[in-house]
Amino acid sequence: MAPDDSLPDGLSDEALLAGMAAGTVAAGTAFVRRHQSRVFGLAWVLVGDPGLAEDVVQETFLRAWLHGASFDARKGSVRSWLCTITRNLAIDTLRMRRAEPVDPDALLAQLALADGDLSDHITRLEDAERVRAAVRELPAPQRRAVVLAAWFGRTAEEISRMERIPLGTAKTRIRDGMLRLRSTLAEETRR
Amino acid sequence: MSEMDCAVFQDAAAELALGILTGPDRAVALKHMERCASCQAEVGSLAAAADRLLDLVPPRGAPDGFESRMAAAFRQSVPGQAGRCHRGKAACRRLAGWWRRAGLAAAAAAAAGALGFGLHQIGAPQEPAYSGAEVAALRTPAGAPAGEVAVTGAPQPLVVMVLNPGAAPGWYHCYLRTSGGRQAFAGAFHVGRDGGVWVIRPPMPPRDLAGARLVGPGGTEIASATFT
Repeated sequence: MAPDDSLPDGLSDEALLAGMAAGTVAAGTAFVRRHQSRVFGLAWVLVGDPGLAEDVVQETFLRAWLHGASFDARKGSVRSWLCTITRNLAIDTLRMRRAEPVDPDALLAQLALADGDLSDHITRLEDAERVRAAVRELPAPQRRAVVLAAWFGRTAEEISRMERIPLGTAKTRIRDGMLRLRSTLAEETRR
Repeated sequence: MSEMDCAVFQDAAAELALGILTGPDRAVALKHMERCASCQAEVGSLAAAADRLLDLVPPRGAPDGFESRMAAAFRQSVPGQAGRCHRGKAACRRLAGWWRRAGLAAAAAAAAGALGFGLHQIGAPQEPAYSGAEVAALRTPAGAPAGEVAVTGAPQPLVVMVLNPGAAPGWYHCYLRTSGGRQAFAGAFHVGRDGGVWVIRPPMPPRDLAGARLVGPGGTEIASATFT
C-alpha cells in the first residue's frame, strides 16, 4: 500500500475530500497546500489581523477535514464551500471582538490596491482585473449587495437591514447584480 | 414543504449560488433543483461567476510550519465524528486504504489517458484496485472511448469517474441512472485540458446503478457508460 505521503498530483478537490473523509492525512495536507493561500487571503482581508486570520484558517481546514463527508457538489464548488466556512468563521470572530466588518466599498478599494504587490502571476492578475472591472461596472447599489453577499456572506434579509431597504429590493439587487456580472464575465471570455 | 416552480427558482438562484439562501427557502430550492436540469445549470453558471469574485482576494502565504501543524491536527481528529458520517476507526482505515489505491489508479489512468486500459488492470499486479467493483467504459455518442467509471460497494459505496484528456474544458454535470430508469444528478465538476478524476458518493445503492452520463458545457451529452 502507498505510504501516506505519496499521493499523486492532479487529484480533483472532490477526490481529496473523499480521501479526507476516509481519514487520509496526506489528502488533507494536499488539500491544505492547494487552498491555503486563497483561504489565508480571504481570512486576512475579512479580519484584518494576521494572527486572527491564522486561527480562522486553521479552524476552516479542521472543519473541512471533519465535515468533508457532508460536502455536496450539487450545491456549489469545493472552493466556494471552503470560502463559506472561512467567511462564517471570520464573521464570528469579528462579532466576538465586537467589531463590524469594513464597508463593502472600502473592501473593494482595499482589494484593488492589495494584489499589485502580492501576486506575481500575470495571468491571475489579468483575470482578477477583468473580474474587478466587471464588479466596477455594476450600479453602486447592486455592487454593494453583491460584495456583501459574496465576501461577507450576508443574507438578503441582513442586507435589507444594513441598507435600510425592503427585503424584495435587496433580493432584486443581488439577483440583478449577479446576472449582470455573469453576463459581463461571459462577454469578456468570448473576446 | 411547498413546491417551487422554475420562475420562482430563478429569483432565488443567485442567492443559492452565493451560499446565502437559508432555512426553508433553501430546502425548497434544493428540492426543485434536484429534479430540474435547467435550474441546476443556471445555479452552476451563477456559482462559477461567484467563484470568480473570489479571484479578487489577494493570496497570502501561510506562516512557516502551518502545513505541519494542520497535519498534526488531522491526526488527532477522526473525520466524521462531528459530521454525518459515523464509521468506526477500523472502517475509516479500510476506506482510506481503498481510497489511496483508487486514487493512485485513477490518477495513473488519467495521466496515461486510460486508453485501452481498464482501471482494474492499472491497479494490478500487487493488489487489485477495484476488487469486487464494477467498471464500465465511458463512450462518446459516436462510440469513442472517453474514460471509465468504477463503482465499489463496501465499506462505502463510491463512484470513481475518469474522463480522458481531450474533452473540451468547462463544467460537466454527472448523472447516474438506475435500473428502473430514474436519473439522479451526482455533481458538477470542472474539467481542464488534461481530463479529470472524481470520486462521488452515489445517491442510490450501487446495486441499483445501471449507468452514468456526462453532460458538458451547453447541455450536450459528452459521454455515457452502461454497467452490464
